[in-house]
Amino acid sequence: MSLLMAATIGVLVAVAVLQLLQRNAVRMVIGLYLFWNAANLLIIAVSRTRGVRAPFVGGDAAPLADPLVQALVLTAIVITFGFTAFLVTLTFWLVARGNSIDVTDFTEGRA
Amino acid sequence: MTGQHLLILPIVLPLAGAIPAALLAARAGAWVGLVTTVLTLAASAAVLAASVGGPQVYWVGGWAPPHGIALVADRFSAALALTTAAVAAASALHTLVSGEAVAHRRLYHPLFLLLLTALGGVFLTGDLFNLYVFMEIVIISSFALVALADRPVSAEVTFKYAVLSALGSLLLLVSVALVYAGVGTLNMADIAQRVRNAAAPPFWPIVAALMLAAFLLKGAIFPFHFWQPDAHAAAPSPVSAMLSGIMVKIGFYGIVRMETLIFPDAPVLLVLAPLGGASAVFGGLAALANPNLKRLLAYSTIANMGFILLALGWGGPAGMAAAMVNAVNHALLKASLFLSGGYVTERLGEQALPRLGGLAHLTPGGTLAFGLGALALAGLPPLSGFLSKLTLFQAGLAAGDPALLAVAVGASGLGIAYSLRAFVLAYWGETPPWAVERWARRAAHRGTLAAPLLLVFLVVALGIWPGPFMGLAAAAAAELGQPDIYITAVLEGGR
Repeated sequence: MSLLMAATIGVLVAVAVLQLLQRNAVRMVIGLYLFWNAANLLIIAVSRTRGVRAPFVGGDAAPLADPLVQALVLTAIVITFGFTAFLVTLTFWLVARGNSIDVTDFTEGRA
Repeated sequence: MTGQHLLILPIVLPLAGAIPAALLAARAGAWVGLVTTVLTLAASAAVLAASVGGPQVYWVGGWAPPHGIALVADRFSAALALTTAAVAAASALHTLVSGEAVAHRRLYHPLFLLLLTALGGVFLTGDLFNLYVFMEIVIISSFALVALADRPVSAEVTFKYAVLSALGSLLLLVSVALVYAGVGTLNMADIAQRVRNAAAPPFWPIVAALMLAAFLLKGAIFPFHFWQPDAHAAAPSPVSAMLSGIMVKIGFYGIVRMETLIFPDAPVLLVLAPLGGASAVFGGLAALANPNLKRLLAYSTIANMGFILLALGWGGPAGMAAAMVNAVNHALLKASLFLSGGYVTERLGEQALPRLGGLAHLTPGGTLAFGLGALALAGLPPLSGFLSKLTLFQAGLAAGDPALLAVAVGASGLGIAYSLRAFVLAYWGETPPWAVERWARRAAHRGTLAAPLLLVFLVVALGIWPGPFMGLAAAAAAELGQPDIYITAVLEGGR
């Protein structure tokens, strides 16, 4: 399971880096989104999730899953969504303002 | 207001102010912004006064250590929170009185207060994940603020800034997850204690490198600086003041916490001083060569972050104190320069230094503010910029590092050159006719220069009467030099 998790994270990061290195702004946003999900999986992977019980108040004392990690990843997922939504809107704004989505066409800072 | 809940005020006050600011019209929102930032300033001053008696700890929701989330104010974080509130109050005043276009955008005022909320949170939280979350709020609100300038280049500048900030916070998120994997806690004091009592996990140096990369990116240190000049130059002036004055200091704050609490003696921290030297020289040369007033100021921020990093790399009580003096001074005077310079470029609609000139005839008050700010940036006595350079060189002497000290002296020379170049090119000489005409086209508002003049007054006052400020920096550095004070206050204080 942990090998599968590690492999998934690795593949996600590899694809994310590949997308981030593209000139297309939309692909860069996709790359960041994949990278974020890899980071969220990493947070899950650092805790034990199999063979443990859900941590309920008043439950039995059997090995419990780490509740902190679940709180962390929930927060991180929300941030991922919010940030990605902002980036998608920003890309749309680029198009609406008549800018190219090819980042090598960006002009500011060239002079 | 009870003393017990004092620590949460610099975070809660601007958050509370953001709600009416979002609901009211733009003009009323600007007033809400000013009142809220001034209240936050008072609360931050009270927090600093309280922290002189030892680090103040507040357990959010009453959850005891180490499970709850702690807010911690030692002298260092309280001083940074106070500086933040001061720059924010000046920026809010400037927004209200200068009539800059962005002040008429309704969204601007709640976003600005959210930015202040998150900055207070970054400096006051004692929890690493909390730091990450607050940093996300800082950057997301700052993108929106940069975009609100609505210049032709705003879309692409915001996109670049957003993608690179996202990468930085991803690096931080991954390193925070790995810290939790390594020691099983996210409370910074608890991490420090566990790292000290048990051998650090084998992957600790890699985590340190990841986190350092994240903070170097935030701090706009060469070679992680490339996002910074565009964003800082294209933002509305009050936002530039916050970005260049305060936001890059998050990198500085994070590195200090790494050095003293999370990764003491990590090998990767050896790169601090050389990178600082490189940043100081690069920023100085780029500022000297740049033909745009706001970009020149932005590059100068890279150079000054280099000086701060140099002092941190030299370390010791002298180095820590020098880093802090540099950070606070730079925040105040760079904010005043962005406000006074930004006011002029906004009113004329022109940032290119070769086209500007003779502004002294148009705005004597603005010339005074920018001139004193530029002299302070150059490090001339009796202005507070001199203290920055003095403490920096003392730290270099104490560390016994002649090579990098020579680099620091050379880079300070560049600082004198680019500050005076900006001032002379923009303000001296004949006023071009187009500038006279454009200046007259827009009616002046009353008190337009109040904010930069107030900040410049602070810079002059700190330079003439440096005693309390230097004493605070030395005491804060001594406190940082003994992490036990922080650790004990957090872990024992709540019980």
